[in-house]
Order: sequence, then C-alpha cells, then structure tokens
Amino acid sequence: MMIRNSSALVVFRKGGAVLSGAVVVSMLACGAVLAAQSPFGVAIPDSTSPADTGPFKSFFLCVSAYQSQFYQAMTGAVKDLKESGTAFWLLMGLGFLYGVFHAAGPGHGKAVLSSYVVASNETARTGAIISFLASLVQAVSAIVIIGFAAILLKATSMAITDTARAFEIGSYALVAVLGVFLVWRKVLKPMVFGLSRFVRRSEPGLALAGVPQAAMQDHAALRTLDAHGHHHHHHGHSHYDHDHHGHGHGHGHGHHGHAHGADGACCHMTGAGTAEAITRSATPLKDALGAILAVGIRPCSGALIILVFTLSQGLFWAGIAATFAMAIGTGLVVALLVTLSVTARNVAVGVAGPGSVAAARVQTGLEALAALFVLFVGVTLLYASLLSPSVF
Amino acid sequence: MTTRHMTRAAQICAAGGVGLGVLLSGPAAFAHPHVWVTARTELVFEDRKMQSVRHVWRFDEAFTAFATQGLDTDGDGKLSFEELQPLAKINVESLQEYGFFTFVEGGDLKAEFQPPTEYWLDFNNGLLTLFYTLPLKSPIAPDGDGLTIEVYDPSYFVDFQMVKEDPVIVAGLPANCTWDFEEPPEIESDLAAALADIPASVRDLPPEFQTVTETLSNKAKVSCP
Repeated sequence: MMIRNSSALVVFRKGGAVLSGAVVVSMLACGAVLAAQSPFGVAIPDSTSPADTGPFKSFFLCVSAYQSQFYQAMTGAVKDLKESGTAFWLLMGLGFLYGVFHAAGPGHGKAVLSSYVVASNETARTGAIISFLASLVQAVSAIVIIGFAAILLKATSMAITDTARAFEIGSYALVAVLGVFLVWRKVLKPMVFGLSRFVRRSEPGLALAGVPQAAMQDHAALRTLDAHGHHHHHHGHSHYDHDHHGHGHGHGHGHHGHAHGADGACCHMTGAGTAEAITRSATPLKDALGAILAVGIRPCSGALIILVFTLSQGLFWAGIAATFAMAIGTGLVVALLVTLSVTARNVAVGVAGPGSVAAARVQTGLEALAALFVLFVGVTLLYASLLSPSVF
Repeated sequence: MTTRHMTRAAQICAAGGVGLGVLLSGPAAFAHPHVWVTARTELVFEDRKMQSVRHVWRFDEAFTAFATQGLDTDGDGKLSFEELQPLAKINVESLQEYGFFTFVEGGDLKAEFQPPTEYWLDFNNGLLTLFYTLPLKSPIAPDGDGLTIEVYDPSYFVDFQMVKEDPVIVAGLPANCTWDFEEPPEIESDLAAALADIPASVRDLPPEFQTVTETLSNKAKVSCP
C-alpha cells in the first residue's frame, strides 16, 4: 500500500511538473499576443482566442462571417424600427442569433466557465445556470457603462473605450484571482497535505486509499487526523468517494466536514443524499459568484456599439432589449458548451470505472488541470492587457 | 491499480499541458468582427519607387455612431474638422500597432511605414470616413518580382471590403509597369457551400473551406516585366 501510494504521488507530481512546465512555456510563448488593443483607439476587439493559424481559424472565420451578417442586419432592423414596430421582433431574433454566433466564436469566457465548472466539480445544471448568469451580467455591464458614460456623462467614444478597458482588466484580474483560488484548492493544497497523509495512512483495504490528493480539502477531517493520529483516517477519503456524484464544491465549507465527522464514514451513497442536494442547490451559485462576475463584468464591444447606435437613433430601449436577446443567445451556447465539458468529464470518469481508483484519479487530474487552466488564462490575459500601452 | 493507471493519469496531464500550450500559443489573436470598412487605396509612385499609400476608409453606420459619440462638443448637430481631429489622431496612432492593416511586399522586402502626418476624418450622411497618407520608411522599386499590396485585418476585428468602383488607384506608375486588382470571391456563397461540408472534426477541413480564409485579403499587384 505504502509503495503504491508513493508511486501514485510521484506520478502525480511528475504529471504536475510536466503540466506546469507546459503552462509556463506557453505563457512565455504567447505573452502579449492575446492583448487586443483597439486598432482605431475606440472599441476594443474581443479577441482572446489565438487562432490566426491552425485548424480553428477557418471555423472562427465561418462563425464570424455569420455573426457579421446578423450584426449588420441588426443595425438595419434598428432603423426599420423607426418606421414599424414589427421590426422589434426581427431585432430580437437577430440579436439572439448574433449572441449564438458570438458565443460560438473566439473568447475566453466559455473556456473559463467550462474550466471553473470542471475544477469545482459542479453539475451540468449548475454549470448551465452559471453560464446564463454570466451572460446576463455581461449584458447589464454594457448597459450600465453606456447608461452612465454616454447618457449621463455625455462621454466620448474614447472615454467609453477607456471605461470598457478598465472593466476588462478588472475581469482578467478576477479570473486570475479565481485561478489562484482554484489552484490552491485543487493542486497545491492536496500536494502539500498529500505526503503527510500517506505517512499516516497504513491500514489497507479501503477502496479509495490510493487517492492521495483528494481528502485533504476538508478542514474538519484534517483536524481530526491531527488530533487523533490515524484512528480517524477514513473521514478524509470517504469524502472523496462522493466527488463524482457532484458535491466536490462543498470543499471548504466547514459544513461538509462536520457532517462527515459526525457520521463517520457512512455517507457513501445513501442517507446524505437529501442533505447534499439541499447544500448543492444553495451553495454552488454563491460559490460561483466569483466566476460569474469574473467573466461577466467585461462588456462585449458588440453590445456597446449596438447600444450607442440605438442611442444615436433615439431608440435606446430597443438597444437594451437587443442586448438581452444577445445575452440569451450567448448564454444558451455557453451553457451548452459547459454542459458538454461536464459530460466529457463524466464520461472520462465513467470509462475509468465509477467509484474506482482510476476514476478518482481522472477526476482529480481533470480538476487540477482545469484549475491550472483558469489561472493560466487569467494571468496571461491580465499580463497582456496591462502590457498594452494604450491603457495608461 | 496500479502503475498502469497512474501512468495514464500522468499521460493525460502531460497531453493536456501540451494541448494547452498549442491551443494558447498561436501567433495572433482572432476577433469578432465589429467594424466594417469600405476601402479605396491609392498607391503613390515617384522616381519609379512606391513612396506611400493613401487610404480612404469609410466606416459602417453603427461603428460611426459609436466612434462619434460625445464628439459634437458645440452641440450644433454637425461634426466639424476640429471636433473630429482628436478621433482621427487616435485612429492613426492606434493603427500603428496593427501595421495599418496594410501589407506591402516587393520580393523579399516587407515595407515598414512612418507614422502618418496627413490625416483627417469626414462625417457625411451618417458615415465616418478616415483619410490618411501612409509613407513607406524606405520606398520600394517594383523590380523583378513586382509589388503586392494587401489591405486586410488578419484578426478579422475589422472587415475590409474594397469599394466597387476604382478600389485601387495608382499614381505615377513607372513606364513599363502594369497593375491589377483581384476581386476576392464572395465570402457568403463560399461559406454556404462549405458549411454543408463541415466534418465532425474541425481538423479535417475540406480544401474549399480553407480557401475561405484567403478571401479576407484584398490584394493588388504591380508588375514590371
């Protein structure tokens, strides 16, 4: 047991080292190219997917061409609206389709949300809700910026662009902070505490004993360990057993830890189900607030432009409606993609054999990978956007 | 359990890391199109060498509305030269980072540009037009291989379409030279055909789909045989 666990640890660390190496290399390699400065000094490109070459370019180009058509049709519909009210529904439909294609194109939002949902082991349903909320926050962010800057302050396009830039940097900073938080919780903490657990654990026969990095996220379990030596070692990994059932996000809430502590190792499949369901429905969205804001506060240039355009036509209300139609379209696609990544995660765990050590390891590996990805995206975007000279 | 599984976990990690690297270290960013420009380009030759490019770029209505927001400082409902000049300035200054979306090549030479000193914006019929002269750092003679001039945004934030009538004008063309401009094929019709053929894997794009990428560039050629 000891030997196996140690080798697990070594391999885990090796994988982690390779991964960190790859991340660092990529970071150095791409540096500033992700920073999208505005080519005309007004309106920031939403360009965060490096896909100038390679297989994705054609796909993005295709999506962009459609997006472009819907966008131009939207400006036409806004003008028609002055003559006929029926153009409103056309505008809504076009806004929705624009949103759909916008989300299918390049962008860091979906990558961050998908990774967050995998890293914190959320259910597909929660992931979908998070995606929709992030899209709505994005719409509100654009409306608030234009409402304040353009209407109240009569600001110039240059000033509005600076404001949008500030929101963008704030968004990237939040993604980076979210990444730090996730990496601490999913990578560093399990690594730091992993070794001490192996030393302590000596009793064989526990189904999930081979999962070093999983159990240590639970403060209560840890305390018990420290206080009583290895008598209560099972608290920790019993916790892990649930992860593929979707309550991993409970980590960090003293709540779960105490429940386990009280029940001993009993709560594998039954009994705790109802309580878990309640916890799950209440806390994930609160937990996800950081992710929702991180992605959502960065306004989309398309929404900003449409809002100012409708404002110039005396139809600001139609711009607000169109912005929400766009958000619904975007939210739908992002929710779909997030659901897809959750499904992929579940399939990976399923292939490895649910409840098996391999499944737990796949699960943990994916969580760690997703956490690192969020950090990587956040740091890269923040670094690149702060580097761009137009900011100050 | 097992080393086999563990190794696989490590492999997954490594593969993921490499995948990440590949995915995120591409050479440039790709954007959503938000600005539509109808362009006319004038190539200016003197002493057999191309000296500068004069651009006339008309922006779309929505971007015009956004860009001119708050600029009518005297509130007379019109946008004067003075009111527009700060915007024109930030336009040409910001374009520097993007190489002015202008790509001039003669043989192995790639032209570099000096910051424009001659630029202004004109607001007419709800549309904003940017005029500017882009001087080459070192003028290029169209010898041997000739010259190619392309105007496009590889990141596709700006959608450049050349104006139908006289998309390219050449001033002072050297005596034995000719020039031509090839109209890029319509992107929409190509797309519709290509869309029907998208395979499940985006890695195996059919060749006709790949050609879509080339329609982004508007290319003029000057040849001196």
